[in-house]
Amino acid sequence: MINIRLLPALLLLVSCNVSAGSRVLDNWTSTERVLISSLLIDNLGPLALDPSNKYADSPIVAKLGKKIFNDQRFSVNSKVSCSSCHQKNYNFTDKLMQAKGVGLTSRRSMSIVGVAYQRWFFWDGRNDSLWSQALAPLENAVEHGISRTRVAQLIFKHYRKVYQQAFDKLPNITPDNYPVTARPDNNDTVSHQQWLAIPDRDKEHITRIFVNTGKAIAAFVRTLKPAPALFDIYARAVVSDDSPGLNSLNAQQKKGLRLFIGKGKCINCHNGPLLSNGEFHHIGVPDKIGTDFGRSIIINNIINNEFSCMSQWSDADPKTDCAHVRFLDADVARYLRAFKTPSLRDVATRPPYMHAGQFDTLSGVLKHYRQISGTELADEVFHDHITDEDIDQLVAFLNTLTSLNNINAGQ
Amino acid sequence: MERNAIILCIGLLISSQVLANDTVGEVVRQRPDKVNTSTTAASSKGVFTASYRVKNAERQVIPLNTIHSWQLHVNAQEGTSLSGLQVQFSSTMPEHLHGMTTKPKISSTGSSGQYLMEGMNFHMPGWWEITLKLSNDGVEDFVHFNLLVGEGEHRHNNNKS
Repeated sequence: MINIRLLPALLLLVSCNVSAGSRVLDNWTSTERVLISSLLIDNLGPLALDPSNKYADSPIVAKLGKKIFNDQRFSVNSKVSCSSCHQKNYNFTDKLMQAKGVGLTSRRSMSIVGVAYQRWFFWDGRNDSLWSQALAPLENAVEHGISRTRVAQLIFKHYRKVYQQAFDKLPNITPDNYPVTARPDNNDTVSHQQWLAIPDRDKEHITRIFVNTGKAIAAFVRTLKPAPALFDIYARAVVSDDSPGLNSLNAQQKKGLRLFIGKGKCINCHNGPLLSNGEFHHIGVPDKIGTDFGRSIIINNIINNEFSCMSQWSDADPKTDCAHVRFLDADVARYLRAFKTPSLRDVATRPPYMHAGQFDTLSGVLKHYRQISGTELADEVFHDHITDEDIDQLVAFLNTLTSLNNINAGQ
Repeated sequence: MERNAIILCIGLLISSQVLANDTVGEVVRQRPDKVNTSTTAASSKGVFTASYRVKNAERQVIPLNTIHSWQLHVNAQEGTSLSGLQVQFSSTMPEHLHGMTTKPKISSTGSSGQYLMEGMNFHMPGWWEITLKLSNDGVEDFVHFNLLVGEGEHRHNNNKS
C-alpha cells in the first residue's frame, strides 16, 4: 500500500521521469521508436541456416569459395572473376552503370554485402538461393563466359586437394576429355551438342562439381556482412534511452531519419536491419537500353530453374523448406518492371544507383521519387510532398548508414 | 471410413483458395486514427466468428517480412466449431493498393474448426487488411482482420483457438 503522505513526492518523481524520458527519446513516439529499432543492425542476428546448401556454414568450404571468387581463371578470357564486379574496396560492387564481364551486361552489379540474409537474388530475383545465383554468371556469355565442364577442369587442375577436403572425393572422371565449352543450353548450340555427347554419368559428376563450386562461393559470400554505422549508434541510444548516444546524429540527419520512417515512407520498402525488404517494386525508373520488364519476365521460371531450391541439386526438403518458392505469388502483371529493393547499408559509398545505374547521386534518386510519386509511372510510390529541404535531410540521413569501418570506401 | 477421410481431405484441399488480389479500380484509403487489431472478428453478417494465432510464436507478434503460418479457428455464431468450410483469402495494404507477394495456402488441420494458413508474409510495415471469405453449404460471409505490422507488439486480444 502506498503511504498517502509520500504521494506528492511520488507524483513529482513520475513527472520528472516523464520529462526526462521525453528528452532522452529525442521526442520520438513509441511507434517511431519501434520503427527505428527495426532498422538497427543489432537486429540482423546470426544468419539463418540455408537448407538448400548443407555446406553454407563450413569454414573450409567458405575458404575454397573465397579463392574461386577471386580467381580470374574462371572466365573465358582469364581476366574476369566474381571480384571484378564485386570489388572489396567498393562495398562489393563497382562504379559502372552496367556490369562488365567478358562483355557488357544490361544491369548494374549489386552489392553482395549482407545479401545472404535475403530470399531472392539478382535485380529480378530469378534465383532462389545464393549458391544458384553464384552459378549463373559463370555460364553467362557476357559475364564469365565459361561452361560447367570448364569449371570441373579448373577444380581438378587447381583445387583438387582443397575441394576434396571441403566436399567429397573427386569422381573418377577426366573432365579434360570433354570440350571446354560443353554445357547444357536451351538452344541448338555447339555447346549443347557437346554436352549431350558426354555420358550421363559424367554429366552428373560435372554438374555436381559445378554445384559445389556455387555452394562454396555462397559460403564465402555469407561471411560478407555489414558493419554498424553512425545510425546504429544513434538507434541504440534511442532504444536504450542512452542520452550521450543521442548526439551521434546531428539535427539535419535526425530530420532525415524522421522523414525516412514518416512522411517520406521510405521504410515501406527499405525496412529491416538491411533497409530492404528484399522484394520487388515498380518504381518508374527510366529505361536505359530498351524496355526492361524486370521480375515479370522470369517469375514463372523460378521453380523450373535447373538449380532451384526444389531441384535435385538442392539440399533442401522441397516439401518443408523453400517456403519463399512454394508460396510465391507468380502473377506476372504485378511484377512488370519490378526490381529488387537494394539494401541501403553503405549506400552513400557506392554510386551509381538503380538497376542500370540511372542516377549518379542519392539526391537524383530522391528527386526521381518525388517526380513519379502518385503517378502512373510507378505502381506503389506514395511519398507525399517532398521539398528540396526534405531531400537534403534524407541524403544527410542516408550518409549515416555508412559502416564505420568502411567510412572512406568508395571515396 | 478411411476412404471417406481421404475424400474429405481432397475436398478440403480443393475448397481452400486465394481470393483474387486484383486492386485495379481501388483507391488509396488513409489509415484511420484508431485501427481495431483484434485477432477475433465476427463476419459481416454475423454468421461466423474467426480468430487467428501466429503459429510457433511465443510472443504473438506479427513478424515483419518473414514467411510464417497462422492457425485459424472458425466458429458458428452460437459457438460450434466449423470444419470443412471453403476458405478464401485476400490481403491488402489500403494505403498502398497491393497485398502480399506470397500466395498463402489454407488447409484444414483435421481438428475441429481449425485451419492452417501457410505462406503468410507481410513485407512492409504498416496497416494491412486480411479478408477471409467463408462458405458453408451455400452460406457465405466475410471476415476482416486489421493488422499493424512492424510498429510494436500487438498481442492477441483473445487466445481462443
